[in-house]
Amino acid sequence: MSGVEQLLKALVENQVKFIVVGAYAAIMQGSTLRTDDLDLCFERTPENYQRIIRAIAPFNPRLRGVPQNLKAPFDEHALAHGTNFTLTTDLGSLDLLGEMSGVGGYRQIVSEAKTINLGDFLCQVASLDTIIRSKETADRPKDRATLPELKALRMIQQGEDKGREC
Amino acid sequence: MTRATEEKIRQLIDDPPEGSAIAEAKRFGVDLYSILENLKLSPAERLRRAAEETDFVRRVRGKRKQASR
Repeated sequence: MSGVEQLLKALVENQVKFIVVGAYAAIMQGSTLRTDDLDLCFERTPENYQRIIRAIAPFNPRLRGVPQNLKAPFDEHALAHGTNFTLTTDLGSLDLLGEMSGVGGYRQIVSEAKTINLGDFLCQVASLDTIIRSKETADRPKDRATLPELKALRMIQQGEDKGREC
Repeated sequence: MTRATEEKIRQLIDDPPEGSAIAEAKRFGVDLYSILENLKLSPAERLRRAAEETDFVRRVRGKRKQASR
């Protein structure tokens, strides 16, 4: 099992309320994009902070870019007092997003999210509409470069859905 | 994916409606047949393949860094 799968499984097993967003969400829906980071949008509640910390603690999470000699604990207190966190773990990079520009937070995107079967467990994944909206808002060159593929994939997906309805 | 769905997607890729997202992606150089191949896999298989490729690139980068020290 890959590091990404192990992280997702740990979060699901600990009943964390989260949605996979960004490139991995697109990949699970058929995109050929590649990324180093697993991006997750999480529900901002004290209970969920506890679940997140419990789920990822075994993988040694630490804030990315913070010198190792500087003590910057990543815990429930940090989650409660920040919004977005870029982490390094023993299983790879993990970005925890409380809010995403252009789309909002967990509660705004959960209604459009899809439930995807990853074999051993089910996982909530942002819709292509949500991913496209967030990339259009971020509007960095690397985001713009992904839009033609994401929009084409959405068109293909819509065609597939229509085919299923027939 | 059924053969009929695959054929329908293939036709869309080969001859996309003018001005459509697929036509735009083709102009941009997106390999749409790779998307078609991905759609034949399960989400778990897509995730595993991407993660394996990323891990491979990370290992190569790590070795290159070690070599340059």
